[in-house]
Amino acid sequence: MSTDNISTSQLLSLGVSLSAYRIFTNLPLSFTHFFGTGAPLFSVIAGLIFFAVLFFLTKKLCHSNSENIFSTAEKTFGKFGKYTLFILFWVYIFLSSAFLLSEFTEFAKLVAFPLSPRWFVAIFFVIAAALAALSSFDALGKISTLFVPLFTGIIIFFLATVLFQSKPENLFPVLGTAKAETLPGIFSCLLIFSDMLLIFLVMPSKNIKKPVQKTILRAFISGFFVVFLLVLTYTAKIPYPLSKEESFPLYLLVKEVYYGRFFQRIDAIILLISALWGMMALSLNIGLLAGLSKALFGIKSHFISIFPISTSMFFAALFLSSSLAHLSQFLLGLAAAALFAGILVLAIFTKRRRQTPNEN
Amino acid sequence: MKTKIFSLFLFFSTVFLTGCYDLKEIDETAYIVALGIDGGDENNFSYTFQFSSPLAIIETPNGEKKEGSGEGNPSVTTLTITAPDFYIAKNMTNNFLSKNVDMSHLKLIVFSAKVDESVITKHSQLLLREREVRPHISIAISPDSASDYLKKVNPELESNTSKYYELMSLRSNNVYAKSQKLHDFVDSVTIKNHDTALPIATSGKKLKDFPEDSRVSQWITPASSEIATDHSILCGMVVFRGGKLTSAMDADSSMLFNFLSHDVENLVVSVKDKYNPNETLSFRILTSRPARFSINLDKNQISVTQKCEISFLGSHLPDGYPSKQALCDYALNILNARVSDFLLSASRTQNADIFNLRDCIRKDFLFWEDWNNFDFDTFYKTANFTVDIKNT
Repeated sequence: MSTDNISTSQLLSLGVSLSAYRIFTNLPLSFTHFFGTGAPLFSVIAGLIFFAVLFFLTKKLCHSNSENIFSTAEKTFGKFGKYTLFILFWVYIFLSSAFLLSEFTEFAKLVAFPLSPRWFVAIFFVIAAALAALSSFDALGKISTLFVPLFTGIIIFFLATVLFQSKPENLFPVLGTAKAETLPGIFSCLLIFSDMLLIFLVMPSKNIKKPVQKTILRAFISGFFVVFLLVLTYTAKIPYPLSKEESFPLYLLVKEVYYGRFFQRIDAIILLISALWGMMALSLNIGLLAGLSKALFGIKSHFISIFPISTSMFFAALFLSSSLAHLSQFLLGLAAAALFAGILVLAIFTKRRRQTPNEN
Repeated sequence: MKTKIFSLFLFFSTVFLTGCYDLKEIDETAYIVALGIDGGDENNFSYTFQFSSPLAIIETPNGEKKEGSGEGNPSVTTLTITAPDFYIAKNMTNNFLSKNVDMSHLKLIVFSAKVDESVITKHSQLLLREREVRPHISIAISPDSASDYLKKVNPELESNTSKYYELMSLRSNNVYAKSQKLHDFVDSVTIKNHDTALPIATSGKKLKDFPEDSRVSQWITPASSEIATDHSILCGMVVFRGGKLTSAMDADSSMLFNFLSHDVENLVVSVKDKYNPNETLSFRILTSRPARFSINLDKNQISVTQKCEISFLGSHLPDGYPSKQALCDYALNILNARVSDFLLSASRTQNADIFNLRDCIRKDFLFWEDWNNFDFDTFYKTANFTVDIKNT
């Protein structure tokens, strides 16, 4: 799958999708666990930290004469650097996909399929994502451009409705349970945005018409706004400490949407949105993993690499079910930290070539 | 090729998977519309399930309605099961019901005041976590039997009991009862020290048995009123404090609660005529927002401001009043005094923070621990109330 023909709007939609899809999971609750009523404030701080780092990374790694991130790694650190980054990306994407599949399966079961076995729900996500991964990034980008703005708009509308019906007093005390011991927790909260690092694999290295950095940062800000709105609404609606006992905050909030007797139970829509969004994110991950596997193991066929990846992801997701949710989150956190450190080191040591007038 | 494979996959999915797990046939489902929970023998509870009988709501070709098994209420079937646990009781319904029991249309949960408060809390939390149960359903307390309340429900001018419950408890037209939603109740009782109130579900004849709150001499209350029916009614409210039932408030106090919390937008109050105490003067009061509470911790003072539109409901100006404005001011003064009396009673006598004033001072603290350590109870019990009801 080549990303060279991906347009700015497609990159923007994919960026929003990557930075916001974890609102369907339990990860937004980590702000509540660490900071109680201070969750919205600390989500802003986490967003600012991530934005600052993303700004630095994109400034160093995304410019009109930039190459593929692996070529940059090879030029800076040789083959060792390239393959280390390959492995870091591969491990992170695999764990992230397994976590994603596990959480979306749980979410779909909660919303609509309480009697269905987990494997039955998960298999739909895997098959649809694997079939979609056979197509090009261009197709995925087009689907994202179509659905992500629509779905984001619907979710913002739902959350704003609940926010207006909630109690603003629940947002106080504004610093919540923050203490010196809990402050490092903000780094574990950054996990919610960590898939944004995959944008370095998705962004085009050729045919760049508009500044990629601006597009990526704009995508992150849009995705962050959705995450912030969720954390804000959840904190305002579900009083602390009850809020830290709950799970799947988005579902809980959407259940609260009530426009009167004739327009209620609209949480059914969220099943459609979560399923399509989950499949889009999963197919992107499978596509990226297949691409990395091709490069790492020398597999020539895209189709051949997708089948074992999807199957192993399916079993990993079943293994990392709700009983092992903490373990999967811990492993994902480790993989994200390692990948993050890897890209940061690359960005620090890489030398940006001076742009010649003929380039771009 | 890819498109063909994908199309085939979609086709087979839609054809073969519709009858898989989570299949629900509407004619194979029995919908619970109300649930009553009473105390039973030893560790058992008495669960009253009220099922909707859709066929009974439909009129027969002769124009007669089919009869259900509810007492005089054909649109529902009520049955009571004694069991140690809600789920055992729910499972037991299928011992004689062929249909699957579904709670997605549950509209009202009534608890008997005789069951332990922890039972109310536990069951409310449990039911809220049920996927089928909506968070907006109503919850009420019956002073005696929840089962009796449900059996005596006989919707007037309404053929659908489910709709009746929804309109009765969620529409803001019942000025003498507080409406309470399940999710708000669970939020309050689960959080330590939070107070909340629930409407009282009883029969019309028992209205006079209510404890009467303190009074302002010129204020006319509905305490002496009586509904000539023993059908079920919602009237008054009980106070939950720290997860325990502490006291009851009568219909008049519930009306003032609704007035301050803006749960009711439009109400009529009656006061005695200053110059002719045998005459009553009635006024319509319209509110557009909840009362504003401001707390001054240093001065130990709670200020309450409510803006309203007051109008005299009479064809001519009574003797002795120079203008309608003076008459309205007189009524407002009495309303001010009655609201002060109500707030003082809630604070001093019942020590019940039903307006959740505890939350109003949250913004004065930066950290949760500081706010949690603040001794609100002492402050609330000794605070002075300043009430200002303004005619806009």
